[in-house]
Amino acid sequence: MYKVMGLCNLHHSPELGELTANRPLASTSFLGRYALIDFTLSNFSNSDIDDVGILVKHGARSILKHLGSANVWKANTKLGFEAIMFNEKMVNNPRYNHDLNNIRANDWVFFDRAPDYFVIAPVHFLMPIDFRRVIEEHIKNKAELTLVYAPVTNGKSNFIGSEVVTLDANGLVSGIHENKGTVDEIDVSLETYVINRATLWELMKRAAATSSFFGLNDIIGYCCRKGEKVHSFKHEGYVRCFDSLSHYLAHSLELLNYGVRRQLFKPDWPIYTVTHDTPPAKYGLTAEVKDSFIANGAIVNGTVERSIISRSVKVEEGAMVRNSIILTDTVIGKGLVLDNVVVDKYAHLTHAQVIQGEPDEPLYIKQGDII
Amino acid sequence: MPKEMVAMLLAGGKGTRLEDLTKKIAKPAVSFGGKYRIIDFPLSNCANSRIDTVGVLTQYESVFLNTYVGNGEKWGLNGVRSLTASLPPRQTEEGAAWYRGTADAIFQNLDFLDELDPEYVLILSGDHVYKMDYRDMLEAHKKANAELTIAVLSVTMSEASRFGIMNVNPDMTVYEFEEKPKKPKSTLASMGIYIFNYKTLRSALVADAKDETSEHDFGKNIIPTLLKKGQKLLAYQFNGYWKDVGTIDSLWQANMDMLDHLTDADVNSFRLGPKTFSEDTHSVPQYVGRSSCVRDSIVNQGAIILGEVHHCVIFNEVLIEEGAVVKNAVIMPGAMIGKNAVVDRAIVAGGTSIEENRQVNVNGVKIVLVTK
Repeated sequence: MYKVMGLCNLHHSPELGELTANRPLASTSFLGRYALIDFTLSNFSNSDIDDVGILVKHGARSILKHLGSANVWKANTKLGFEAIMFNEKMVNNPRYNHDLNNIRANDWVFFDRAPDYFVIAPVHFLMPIDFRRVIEEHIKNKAELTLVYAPVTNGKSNFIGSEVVTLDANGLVSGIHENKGTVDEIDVSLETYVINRATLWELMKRAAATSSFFGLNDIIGYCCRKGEKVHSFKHEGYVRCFDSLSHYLAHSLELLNYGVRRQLFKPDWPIYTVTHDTPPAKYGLTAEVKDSFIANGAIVNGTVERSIISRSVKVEEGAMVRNSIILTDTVIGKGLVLDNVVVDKYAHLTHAQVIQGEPDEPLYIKQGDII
Repeated sequence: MPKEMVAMLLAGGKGTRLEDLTKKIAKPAVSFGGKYRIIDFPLSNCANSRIDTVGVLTQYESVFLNTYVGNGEKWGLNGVRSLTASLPPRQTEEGAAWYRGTADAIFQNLDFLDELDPEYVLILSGDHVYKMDYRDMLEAHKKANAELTIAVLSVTMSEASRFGIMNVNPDMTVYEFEEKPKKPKSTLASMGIYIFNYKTLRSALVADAKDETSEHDFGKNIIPTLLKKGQKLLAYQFNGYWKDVGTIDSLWQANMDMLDHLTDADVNSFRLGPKTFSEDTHSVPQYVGRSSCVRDSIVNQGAIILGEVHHCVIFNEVLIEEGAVVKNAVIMPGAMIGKNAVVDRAIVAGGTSIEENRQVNVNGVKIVLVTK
């Protein structure tokens, strides 16, 4: 029996404009009741990985608020363990605030938790993945380092800036380069790795000797260029990259489709999140809801089409919400028409008007704004 | 550290009048209001009243209820200094016996209470839907220097003969208690919520246990005996929403009350103020489809609604297929309403499948319970 520690790596999370100005992507609301980090933590939990470290780059306040005691993701609340890993010294020095320095600053996990394998996974690639299968293959290959990738067919419009891998005939990674959006069919790196404990330790030492700015992806790219063995694991099925506000909107609304939803939410793969004990959603006499997710605590009296209404949102009679995401505790007043808009938490929109964005350029209403 | 007040929650009853809904679970475990079980209400009230020690007396189908109550975590009753204990009947040195009545259930657990050594004991029932801060009641109990305080609710004269009625003096002290009187003298109905001075409760229960003619019931035996002995009993009037959900009709009605726009019981009693806690089902968000219509209803997470829903309470993981029309109904967890089926004025039990095109209680006057 082997021991695994999962590291949820938030260092490479893209920014989604103002939506992530005051919070990291990890604790950004998703589908009205989740935070994006829930999916990575549930992947760990469902893969029987109960030892978890969260590599926080910034915005620890928002992460801690969401996680609480993190008991909802643990199979055994005594044996289960979560560590907030944070590099306090480097937080104001972005070039140095990278994942390897964070792990260095928290290197006690190598000794205290002493896993045989680390599974390192980000939150901006949304996917259901059973890490046990990756680890099995990693062991079978006698690998020291395995990189998880996904073949995708929309590289011109998605995964821009992500890493693309090239594989040799034996399935070893022979090269890594940036996706510049010139080709649709690419094998995109999901920045998800299985690494032996000693190998990660070694990589940290080598990275420091090469460049102080070298993070995990950099040193792995460097290893590939040096012709060292990096094994690969092909992830098949649903994967989306959250790298812009328009993708956030598109990937969210796409899940209204049952066929797509079934790929992310599988019966044997529950997604855990913290409960807020809000009462069920209430639909009034004048509610007109079509093709939408409505979270608990919401009160809907207006029209909602192809949208996501989060916890405790009020959509008043005569309001119209289309193709939009309305975050927690927002009020959408009478006479407002929203189309392709992302409204952040606690906003209070009462003045009747049309607020219209475009699918590839959604409008954003700031947290707590009164309009 | 001795506790000022501990709660003892009577949750052992079957609830026979709920028919097949309580075939495999006890009444306190019956679903209510889209996401709750009835027992969530008194337990949330305890939590919100900052009571940290609760004994739950279970008997009928106790395994599920004991598991559901667990360590009290769902209601936050598992913190430091907290204790949540399920107390089904047990074998002791003296032998083994079922709980013979509400008073006997507490009597058989006097050792549990002695250990905690509380000043006051709050007796609750797991059969009622309401939100109440028991601290206010305790305050009144202390102020009046009463031995026993009974929460009462003003009902109509016609309803009064269905309840235990308290006849009170102007200072709210009780001079007479009448169980289901034919000609009620007052409209103050007992809600089955009692605060006892523990010493008084203890000696009353010990005496009652020796009485072979007693039914060992709080309403029928303990309260009348204390009155006869001239002890000071206080009625504490509660003004919020309260419902005994003991029959299919009243369970349906209480669910429909959550949709009532005149009283706004749902908003005023449950959406505002302290939260009612419950189990989290890890459900995906509820989805309402392209050709569906949902109005005048409350719907829990995990539900998928592709048909029409009017004036309904819809629980988690319910599926309402395209073309189905569901009106004035309570659809419990995991039930499925097939394509073009019609359901009216019904409670559909959890996990039930209503097949395509089936008509349930269309134009019916009575409320029906559907279990298959």
